[in-house]
Amino acid sequence: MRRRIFISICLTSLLTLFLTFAFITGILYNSTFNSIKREVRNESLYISEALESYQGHFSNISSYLNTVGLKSLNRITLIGNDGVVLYDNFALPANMDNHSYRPEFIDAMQSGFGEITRFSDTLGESTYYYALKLEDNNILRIASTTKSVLGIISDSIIWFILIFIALLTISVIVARFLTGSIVKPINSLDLDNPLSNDTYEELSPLLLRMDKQKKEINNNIQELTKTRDDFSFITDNMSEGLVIFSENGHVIAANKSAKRILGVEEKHYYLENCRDSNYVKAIQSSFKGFSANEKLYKEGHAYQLSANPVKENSTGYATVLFITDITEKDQAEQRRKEFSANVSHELKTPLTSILGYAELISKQIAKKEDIPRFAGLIHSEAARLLQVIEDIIKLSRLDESDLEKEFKDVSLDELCLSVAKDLATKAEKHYVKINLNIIQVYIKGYSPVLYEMIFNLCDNAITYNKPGGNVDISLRKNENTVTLSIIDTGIGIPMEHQSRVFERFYRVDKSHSKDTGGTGLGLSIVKHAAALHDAKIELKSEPGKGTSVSVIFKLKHF
Amino acid sequence: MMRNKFDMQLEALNNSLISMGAMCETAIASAVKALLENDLILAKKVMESVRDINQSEKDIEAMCLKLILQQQPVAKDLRQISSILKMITDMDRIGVQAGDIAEIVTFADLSESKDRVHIADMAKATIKMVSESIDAFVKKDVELANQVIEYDDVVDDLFTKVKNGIVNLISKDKKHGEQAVDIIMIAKYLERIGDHATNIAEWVVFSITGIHMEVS
Repeated sequence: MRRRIFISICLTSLLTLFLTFAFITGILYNSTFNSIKREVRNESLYISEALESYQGHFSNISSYLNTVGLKSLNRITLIGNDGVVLYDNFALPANMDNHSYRPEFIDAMQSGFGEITRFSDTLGESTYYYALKLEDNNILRIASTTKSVLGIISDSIIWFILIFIALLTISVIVARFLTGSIVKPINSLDLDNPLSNDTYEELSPLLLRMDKQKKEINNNIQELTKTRDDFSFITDNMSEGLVIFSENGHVIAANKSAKRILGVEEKHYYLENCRDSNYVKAIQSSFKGFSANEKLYKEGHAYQLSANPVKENSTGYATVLFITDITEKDQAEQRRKEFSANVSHELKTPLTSILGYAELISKQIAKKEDIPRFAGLIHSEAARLLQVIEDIIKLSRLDESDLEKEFKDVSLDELCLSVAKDLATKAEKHYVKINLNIIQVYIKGYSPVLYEMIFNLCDNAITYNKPGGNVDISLRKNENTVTLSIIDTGIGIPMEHQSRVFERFYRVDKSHSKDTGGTGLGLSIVKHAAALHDAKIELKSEPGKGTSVSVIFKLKHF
Repeated sequence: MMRNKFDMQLEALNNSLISMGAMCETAIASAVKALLENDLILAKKVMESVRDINQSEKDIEAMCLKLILQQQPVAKDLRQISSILKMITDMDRIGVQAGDIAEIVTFADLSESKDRVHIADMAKATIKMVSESIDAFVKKDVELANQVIEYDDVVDDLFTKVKNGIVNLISKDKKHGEQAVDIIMIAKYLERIGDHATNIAEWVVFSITGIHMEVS
């Protein structure tokens, strides 16, 4: 704009300059020429008066003309009425041709005077001729030569150029200054507050529009910010991770969970913070346009990675990665696998023995005296099998856990008593003393399951005890909880097994020793029973010293 | 602000190197997993991935040379490009040696001997070195790189332990002889991989500080 204004001003002043110059030159030339004409006419009048006063005395005439002709700057020619030149002060009359055809001569012959201006392009001159008819019918012609317009220009061209340059310089300086002062109000516009400007009124529609759009933009930005804040509030507070990658592998956005799980950071390359092979596989496959699901194991957690390609443009795929924590699911799956393996093992082992012994008997390979022993073994194995199946049934009932409907008031102290009674024989066999320290307590629950729970805990306390040891069953009650504790002085559970003893078929003694009996499901039943009653189990154990199991019931059921 | 073309090319180069590093990490981790779990399918996959790693090396090399020729980098940029040029050689060797380990897994049954020596510990230590050397590059972390360089001693010690273990194994029972040879080869590969990881770490230090420690 500045440049344009500058150029416009310069061009305008140049044009003005040029035109003024041209007109002034023309006008001045014209008036100069007119005064020359006048002068020539006057001169011709004076000379004609003088000539006529000599009244045909040629010698006088010619001496007069010689005198005047020498002094005059103008050309004086006396032409006879036949066109023959009689006198000329610039050339010899003998050398001059006949002038009868000259327009000024013809005019003068006809109307008494004639005039003409002849231009000579080559000399850049114009000559004004004035012819006057004398009384003797001779013609007096006075001619004045002056520079033509072009001649004047070409003569003083150097001055013109100098003046032109000087004016041009002045006009450039002025134009620069003017441009600056025109543009200044525009440059100093306060665009943050368009309406506060006091400037050219031509700008006010623009400023009004600007103000309106500024408000619109602010509104839009506020809306967008709100949407974005809402979005990031939601994504940041979800436990699942969400990452968006651009097609060239940079993280565009990642929520808090994703940053925590993968360590990814926005604007970084996707491999910079995590290079787990499954993660890399999932993302790379998605960049190629194929959805991928992979598992990621990190810091004791299992995550499901779902990478999905998003077509961004023709060059490649962006990717949306969704990360779900599936630790529990994964562990449950692991446990289920272990459980099925264990179930089949636990069921197969007794059955194989039963089959073997039965085959020996049926094929009469067994000696007669061995048959009772074999039958006894078949019996005990079958009993064990039955026990396992019963336990599994109990567990699956607990799994279904619709038993809550059958909850009634159950007296825990009575259950403890009856368990102690039922286990008295076994305790005696193991030389273990059962001590009861109970108070009367009622909780809401399902009696058979609670009985099973207390029974299993006490049974374990006796089985894994040392001869001469103690089993203390106690019931305590405080404001919010009822605590059932079974403390033994037995062999204890090593630290590394403590967290797993409640798993199905988990045995501290890996050989699945038959010496101690049991199915490996006892504590699992306890755990499920406690869960059913919304109770918490605390296990404290020290190898060689004993184990304490506390089941803490909440009293909100009352 | 618009970044110039050179910056973008340099970043692309960086990212390519990280990708190659990730491939190496996967290769060595998978090779070790194949070894410990006797997973032949995984071992074959590792052997296939060696070709990709090699291709990566060639691509990155071409990128480096093109950058040097076209952009004529100086100072830090030149240092970074030249150290990348050196690092890819070490990474390629890591890939090849991971492939070699996988190849041994495919034809040798090591189930009896491998648990009796510290090969699993050594493998873990090596993977840690490779991972951390690449981490050091990604994070431009001189301290981590120095840790990797120091950690090489641990891998070397483990190599000696494995070697002594193998000697014991053979002296007790000669039938372990064949397996012992395979195991000692794997151990040597792991030890070499550790050395390559050390080299990478040294080049990381060089690219950042301009000082290159001689391989001791």
